[in-house]
Amino acid sequence: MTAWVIARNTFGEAIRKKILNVFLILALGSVLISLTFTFLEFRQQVVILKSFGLGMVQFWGLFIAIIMGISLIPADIEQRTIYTILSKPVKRYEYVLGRFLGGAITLAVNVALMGAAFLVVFLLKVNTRALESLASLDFGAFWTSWVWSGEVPGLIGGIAMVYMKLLLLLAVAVCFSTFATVTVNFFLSSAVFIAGSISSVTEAMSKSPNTPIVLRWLYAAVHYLVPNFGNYDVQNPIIHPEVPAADLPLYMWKAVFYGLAYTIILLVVGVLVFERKEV
Amino acid sequence: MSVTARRSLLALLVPLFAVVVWLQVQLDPMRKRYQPGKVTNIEIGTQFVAATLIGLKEVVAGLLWVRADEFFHSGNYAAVIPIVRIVTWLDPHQIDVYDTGAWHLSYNFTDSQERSDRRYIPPAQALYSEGIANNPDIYDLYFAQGWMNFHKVLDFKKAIELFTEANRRPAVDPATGRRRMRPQFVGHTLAHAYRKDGQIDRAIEQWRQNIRDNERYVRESGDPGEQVMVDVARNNLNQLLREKEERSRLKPLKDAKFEAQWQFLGPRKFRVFGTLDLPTGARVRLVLRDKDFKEQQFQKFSWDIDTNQTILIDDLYVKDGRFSRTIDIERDVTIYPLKAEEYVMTFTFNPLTAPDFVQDVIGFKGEGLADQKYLVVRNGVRMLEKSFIIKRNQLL
Repeated sequence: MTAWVIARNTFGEAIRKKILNVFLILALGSVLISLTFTFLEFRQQVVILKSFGLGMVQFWGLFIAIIMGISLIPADIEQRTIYTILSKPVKRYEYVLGRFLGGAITLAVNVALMGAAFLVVFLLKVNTRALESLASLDFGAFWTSWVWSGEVPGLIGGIAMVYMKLLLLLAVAVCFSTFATVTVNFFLSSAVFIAGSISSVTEAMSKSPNTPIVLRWLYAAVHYLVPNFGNYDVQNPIIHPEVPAADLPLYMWKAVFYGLAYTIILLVVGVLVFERKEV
Repeated sequence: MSVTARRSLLALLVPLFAVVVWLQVQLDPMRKRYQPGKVTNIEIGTQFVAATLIGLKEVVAGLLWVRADEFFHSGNYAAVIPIVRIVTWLDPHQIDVYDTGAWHLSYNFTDSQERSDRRYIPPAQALYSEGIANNPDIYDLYFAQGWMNFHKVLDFKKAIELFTEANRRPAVDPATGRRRMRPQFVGHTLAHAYRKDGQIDRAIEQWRQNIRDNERYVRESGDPGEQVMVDVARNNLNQLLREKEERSRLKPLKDAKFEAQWQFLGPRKFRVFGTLDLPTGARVRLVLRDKDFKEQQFQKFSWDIDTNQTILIDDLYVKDGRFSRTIDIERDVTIYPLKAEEYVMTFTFNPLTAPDFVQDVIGFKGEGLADQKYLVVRNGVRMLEKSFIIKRNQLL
């Protein structure tokens, strides 16, 4: 319960942060820019809109997750509000958990807003005829020509995968923020994100007969022990629904469970470190 | 936190890590299905790797394609092909990029007299093949490659093979993402290809099938406007039946009085001319190539062609029974390097590629064609052909 109160406060603080709002506005603007590629063929426009939309949600989401994640706990330490909080009947693990949950809610709201904007833009794009009818105030024609794209569930799935990736990154940043300064944490989290994003490379290298055995072990360790952000890169079959993608929902569920399990690990480590931290 | 709680949390990490590793082992083989890069051969620049590392492959691919469009509109076709290579590596499901890239290769690299550089046909075929391997379940690239073979290469047998594959596969609606019937023109083009290849009975059979398919299309789409394609197929069928009937009575044979010559005008400049007693609008194909020319074979796509090869193809327009053209390749040293010692210059009249009004005189496969000197029969087609062996110094 205490953790939930801290989470709500964290969310309230986060939505007042100008920098996060700026990222959100930039993200919405980026999605809208993809509407301007009208000189391409219609099919190509739709492909670019989808890839750009999902990509921009992820790109700006990364900034939001990392900037928010690295400052959640250090900000309290620097401003000394941590003394006030911990002098109350608040356990340290509740504090860490509350901070993370607040960040996760903020991230969810931001991704949902960006995703909703993307979906609206996408549906407007594929409904050119309906929009023309609307412009001429022919509401009957608008409803009859409106197409509910069968791609929407897939796109929502894609946005959910982006959220899971960002949630994992947030957990990494919160975990590091229990012992590292903001600057150090920024570089640490970024390095983990990059190492965890090259899963196809680390996997290939860990199995390549040309790689020395010691390096193979090293790559295998990186592949299995570093949070694997590459697991969430499933945009391609979502952008190209014509390509058969067998068992994609199953894969996505497994990736979600992977993310949740790893998030718990990072939070446990964060709590263990923070318990011993002198503040 | 108590020591017990701390130890419990530490102990919890072990099974959690086990779960994470187990899930990763499960995810690894599945992930490869959803992350592109199946059939490509490329050494990619590091500047592109960075974006792909953080899961933005498709965004980079899209933006690069927008840039390629700018190059295209500024006439810088050579810059488009490397971008095609990168985009299809980043996202091998961008079928329009394969199609546009292969089209550039096969049509847009031209000499100063607007003849395309034929050495780029094999890379174009390889690019299409790669695109098909990456996108085998929809009609688009089978049709596109078939069209290149039908229209540019004039290899109707290969075109039939590809159109047949296209005609078995669905399309995807770009707006809804749902599968739908392929456009009717796919079946129509297949019928045209059979006709061009001289397989008239197969063409008739295909037109009948097209009528049935198009009627089904009208029923399923619920759009009466689509009826026009049923009518088109019926008209084409009736016309073909009429032509078959009329062309079965081509007697006496038409003597084409074919003759062809060439004349040196200067270094890399010569005139080709001759006679062909067929209606104005018939065309004679000129091929100048290295004597030992062999079309390059690409197992995988590359635009690294053999720049020592020379092959020039032109179609010579026949007017009032004569044809003539000055071939000036002085400014096209890179396209026609003329590095071989000997060349073959061939003039061919092929009834299969002749327009309808010429086929009315000589038949679909030259059944009504005669010539006292240059008639050859190849794969059942009666065609005219004259060749010269030319030394390098005769052209320079």
